[in-house]
Amino acid sequence: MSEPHSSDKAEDAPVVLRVTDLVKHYTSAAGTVHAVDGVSLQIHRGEVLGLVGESGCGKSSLGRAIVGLEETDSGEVELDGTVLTGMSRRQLRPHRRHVQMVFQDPFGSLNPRKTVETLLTEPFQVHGIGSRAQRREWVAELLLKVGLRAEHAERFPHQFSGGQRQRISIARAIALKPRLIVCDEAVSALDVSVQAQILNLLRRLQRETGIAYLFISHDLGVVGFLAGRIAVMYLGHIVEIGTKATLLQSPRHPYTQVLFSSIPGHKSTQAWSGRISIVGEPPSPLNPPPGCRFHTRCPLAEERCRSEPPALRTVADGHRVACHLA
Amino acid sequence: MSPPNSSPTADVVLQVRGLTTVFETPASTVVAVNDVSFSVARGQTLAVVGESGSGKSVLAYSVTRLLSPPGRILAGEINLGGRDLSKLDESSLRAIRGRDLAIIFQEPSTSLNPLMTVGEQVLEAITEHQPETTRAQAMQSVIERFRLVGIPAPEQRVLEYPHQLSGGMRQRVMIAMALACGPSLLLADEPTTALDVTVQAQVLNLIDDVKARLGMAVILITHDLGIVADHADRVLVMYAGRFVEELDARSLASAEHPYTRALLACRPDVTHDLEDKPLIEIPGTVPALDRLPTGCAFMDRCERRQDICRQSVPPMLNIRPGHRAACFMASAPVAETNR
Repeated sequence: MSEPHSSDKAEDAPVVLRVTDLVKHYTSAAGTVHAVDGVSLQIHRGEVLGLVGESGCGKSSLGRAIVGLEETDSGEVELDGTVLTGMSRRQLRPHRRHVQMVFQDPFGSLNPRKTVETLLTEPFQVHGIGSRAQRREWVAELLLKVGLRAEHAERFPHQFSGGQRQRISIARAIALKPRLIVCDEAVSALDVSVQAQILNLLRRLQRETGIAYLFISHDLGVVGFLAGRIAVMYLGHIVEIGTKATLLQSPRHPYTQVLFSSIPGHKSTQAWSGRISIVGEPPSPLNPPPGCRFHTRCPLAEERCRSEPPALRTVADGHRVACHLA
Repeated sequence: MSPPNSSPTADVVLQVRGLTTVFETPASTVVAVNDVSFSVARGQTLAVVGESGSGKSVLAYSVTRLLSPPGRILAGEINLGGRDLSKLDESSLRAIRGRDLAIIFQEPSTSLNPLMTVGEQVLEAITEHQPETTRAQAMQSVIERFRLVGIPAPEQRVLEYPHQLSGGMRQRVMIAMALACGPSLLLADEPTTALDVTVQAQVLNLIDDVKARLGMAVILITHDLGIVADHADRVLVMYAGRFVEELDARSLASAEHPYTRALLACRPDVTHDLEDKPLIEIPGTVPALDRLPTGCAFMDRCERRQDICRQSVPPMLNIRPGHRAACFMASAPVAETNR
């Protein structure tokens, strides 16, 4: 299956993932961290949604909640029309195969004692798919698909470079032909020359198979390469979401403008660069400010921004912003 | 940003010649920095760019003489303010570090003492090099420096411990400490790699600002060519322990070395996919330093390689004034240099 990808097409495609009012708080002795605070979004079949924000904004917590690695406090995660939140582990198991995750650190996610063959066979075993001979064949196919060789199956993770290990993680993620892969900083640990290889691989797989990605990264360049739409997160909230072209050419939220104009080497290329600058750093998610959470750093903030949280409202087709002034 | 210095001999702050650093173990000797020469002038920012394993951090540790065994400087000169750092003993070096030479690392928390307030630590740096200063004067000077580097409420911040500050604030403290004695050279090794992008921009702008104000020379070690374009005057590209190209930061687009060109091309740009083209890839990975091919170290990944590349290591050749590249295939080399 190979369908040409464009953001318009993706909008018409059926919804793979629907997240509604998702809340994830962490409670510790120091207080409650508002990691994800009422997030709603959709991803269509074969679409790449980029999720950007600075550390502590909740983007990883959101990703982990979507794949079921974190229990949520409230809200819904719906995959292909099935609501996963609230299911027991047993109920969840058959649905798990449809959503996979690729992490930043392939060291941490690949068991060092297992051969690549074992690592790639596991998903089939867990779900009881295929005979031994079939699985072996599929492993070889998977390795080729991610740019490795069939004989790599006998090796252990430490015998590979960082880029190759990330290829193995990707092979594992695509083994069961999921509908959605959540990529959490999947290329952030790689050198730029290797990063390009993995980005091209992820894009090729996505176009060949029609998998959707939620692509989480702090690196806007990387997100911009893969994503058709981009969501910007700040302290547990989505503050702006729209197509890449819209966000690049006419970002409405002051934080989006700041974020994009902070990209190194990008100063002169954007018409809106230099239009806005901020000081300070994101406040602690332990005690998010009242009203608009960005108001403490926003040069445009007015009285109501300090008390009244702005809703995420539609400003144009497919473009939503949470700012009183946008 | 100051204009690139057209005559490198004027106002040269640091001159490094033929620096070679090795790591010696009973099993092997690895050359991590291989015969590199460069200089940096007052008011100039020189960026040293490379991927992991390029030797850029070993270069930083060598120049500042912070290298620990099994690393060792095998050869070369490191001239700073008329003295060759490669020949000095530890006590002379300590006097120079902090006073003439300031250093900032990627992770400020590893360079700060967790048991001491940040004010006290910067104060120590000042009094060590200016013993005649009274404590009250020195603390006043710390507060002023905190203000200079954009730390809000400096009177309170000096009383806090490193863990009470954010990463960005800690890096500002490091910069305040680095600048305590008005050094002539600031060496910053990946100073913003651990920081968020909006904070990164603030810290890099701060470094530019104090450079201009104090007339320092800056060596900025980074893996990010975007940072280079925005904040450097000159660029040195490192690969497998050697310099492969040196040029004006503004001329990056006319880089000649295939590695530099590929590095520029494989970097995803946020606007890239509007054209819907795949990224340029560099096949393979950076070779391990103990398994370098003979000849050019980039050869196995290079699409322009010829037989000659296999036979000998290409020397740095002048492409045009201020632009050198170590590639046999670079266009129109005019003469060999030996700066």
